[in-house]
Amino acid sequence: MRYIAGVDVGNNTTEVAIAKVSLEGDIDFLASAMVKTTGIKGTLRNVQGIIDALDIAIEPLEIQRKDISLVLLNKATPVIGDVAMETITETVITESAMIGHNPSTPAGMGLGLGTTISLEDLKSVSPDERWIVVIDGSIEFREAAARLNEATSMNLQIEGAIVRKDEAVLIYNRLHHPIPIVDEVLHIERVPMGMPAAIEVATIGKTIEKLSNPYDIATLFNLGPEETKNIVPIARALTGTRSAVVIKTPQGDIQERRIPAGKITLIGRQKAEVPVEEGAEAIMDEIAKVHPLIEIQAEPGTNVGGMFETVRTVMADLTDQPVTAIRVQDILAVDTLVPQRVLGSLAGEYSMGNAVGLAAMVETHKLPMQRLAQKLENEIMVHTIVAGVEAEMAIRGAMTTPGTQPPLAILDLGGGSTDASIINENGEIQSVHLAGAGDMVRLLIDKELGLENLELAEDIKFYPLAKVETLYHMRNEDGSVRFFHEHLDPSLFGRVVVVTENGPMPVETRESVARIAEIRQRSKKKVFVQNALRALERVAPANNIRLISFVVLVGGSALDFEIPRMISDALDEYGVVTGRANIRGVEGPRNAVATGLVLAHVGEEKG
Amino acid sequence: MVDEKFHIDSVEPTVQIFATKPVPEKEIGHILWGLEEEGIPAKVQEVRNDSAVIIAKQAADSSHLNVGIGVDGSGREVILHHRDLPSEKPLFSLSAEEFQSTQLRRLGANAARLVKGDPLIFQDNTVYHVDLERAAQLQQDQPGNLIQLPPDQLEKLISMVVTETLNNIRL
Repeated sequence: MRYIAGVDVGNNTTEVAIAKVSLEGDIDFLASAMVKTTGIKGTLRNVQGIIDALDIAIEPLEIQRKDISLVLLNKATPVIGDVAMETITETVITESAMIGHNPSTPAGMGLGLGTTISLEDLKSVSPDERWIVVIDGSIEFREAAARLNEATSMNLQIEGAIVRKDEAVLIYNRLHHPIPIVDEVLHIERVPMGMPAAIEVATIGKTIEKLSNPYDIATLFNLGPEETKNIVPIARALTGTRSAVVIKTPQGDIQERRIPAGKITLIGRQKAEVPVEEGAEAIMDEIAKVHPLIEIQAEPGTNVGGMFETVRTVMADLTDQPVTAIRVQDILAVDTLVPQRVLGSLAGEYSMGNAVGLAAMVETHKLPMQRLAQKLENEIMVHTIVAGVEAEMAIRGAMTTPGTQPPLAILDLGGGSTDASIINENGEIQSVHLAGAGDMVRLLIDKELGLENLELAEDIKFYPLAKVETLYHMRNEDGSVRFFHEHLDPSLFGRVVVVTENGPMPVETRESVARIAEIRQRSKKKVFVQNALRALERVAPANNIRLISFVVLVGGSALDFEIPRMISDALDEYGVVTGRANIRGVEGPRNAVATGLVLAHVGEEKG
Repeated sequence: MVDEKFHIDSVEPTVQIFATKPVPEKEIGHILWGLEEEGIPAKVQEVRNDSAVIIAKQAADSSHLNVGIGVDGSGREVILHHRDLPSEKPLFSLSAEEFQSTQLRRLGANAARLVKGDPLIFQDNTVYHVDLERAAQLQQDQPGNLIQLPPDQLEKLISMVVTETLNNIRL
């Protein structure tokens, strides 16, 4: 009898399976463990993580490391993936011309049209004109209200007001004649005076109607067809807000500009060039045409070009090859909308810019696993060998899932890449690695919500959302309610939170639970459903997914609370039985490779 | 007049503000503006002398909106309380040194936001009871570093230290 350990060093996690093997070759799995991979997969730094995982696994068995007679290390296929985003449109205001935002409490309702004027200058104007009054931060609200009342009593026509501080309601409540008021305008000093302006405030629960419609803006300001075309970006940026101001300046110019984002060159059966700004669909179409891909190049000096360089350099360092020998073999492009600060805005407004997210992947077959095995052997004084190919081991492990039989396909949903392998009745195995997985989802969530915080984006990806409704309860995104005996942190009150093991964490955004959940689900679908289909098509007999009967999901992202269901729904159309793996009937989608290593090795010994 | 007001009081949902003599009219004005900008009605009532936290809790209990503010006129202390919270654990308090227009208005705005279910406003010097509790808890959890005080006294101590520190920073 002896103990054998299977060790799988992955991009994100290192997994271990420990089995007791009898003289007859009967295998009894006793323990498993999972830790975060230390360093990049395939480097000597992995040793620390492997030792940690081994120690965790053997602890309950009450044996020592030296009691293990053999350690089996996976012959990893090094796949390195990375993600980047190119913004391809932006809204530029060369002269202040609009304010469109959602102060928490604007006041009044309806539409006002007039000429901008400061409160100071109101004393010396004629009663024939209509005015939009600009009130800066130095004026107290009671005085502002008094002066506005005084002006209306002198028959001046005040149509609306723009206020620096959060005092719209306070001013409004003291006016004799109601007007729409927009407040919290950060850069009030940038509002040009003496210009025609329109102000609109919607009632609570509604959004503005006039200033978000280009033809209404054209009506208000007497615009010609050409000018109307130019204000379309304004109308779009103002859609969905509760209050807005549009100011017409003589040289005012608002443009939606397309940013040149560089080209991607696809080299396969033929060569094709796609400009990134044409969007994800164009890129993915082109990839399908050029397939099988040999190499993908991105234009230097762009975000994507930079990302390609990083991936290649990391891989070159890792495998001791020149950078020129490393080629990007697959990309996944996804269209997305990202909030962007409007250049030249008055209240810190955002508009949604178009962007393309790209994941890239490099793969080589020359990973120095032997070196790692040697180092590990020296450290733990246990014989270590590099055994089976990762994809084959994963299949062997996956087949321990009860209820499966070949032909069987596995989808390995990881962080950096989505991999698929298939085994047919004759035991032949085929596999493919594709760019884009969990990290890409995280990037999309981060960018679409404008978080600039990848850790928070990871939490949003992984945990369900809730809204803290009172000091003692929160409503989960599925509508259920969770009560607490101790009151919650007041800083969480009224906020959207992610419910983690360490308690609720606030999501610093004004978006609603429904909107965040929608972005999360959309990001997962765009990446994983698309990649699941792409990957299975490549490995399926005759590239026909219908010819696969069983698909099991393994890998970290298979633990996600909704990704398996999304893939399952998509594959249902093809009549495929899809589900999360349950390795050895106990491990769930984890430990497939580590388990497969032990099974394969013992099987070979037995002959 | 008084009777009429009382009558309206019993049906109209308001945030209750209880204040003891001498009622600091100006400061209460700031609190009311905070509530007004957020669009939540409030009602001020003079009560007999008691500590700010006790009258704040009474105010919260008597409010149809479950939110009350206690203003101790002589000690110049303001407390924001909620009906669901234990009496000794108010949500926010402002001490005499913090009797400034911005802080007072923010307290009013937070009272209103508590009613509306909107996120509260922070970024200020408000003594933050829950954090203090946590700090106290952490202190207790540190082995070998125990401060042998009952939690409420410990809280007060930390509260004093924090206020002191904040005041020093402001100077």
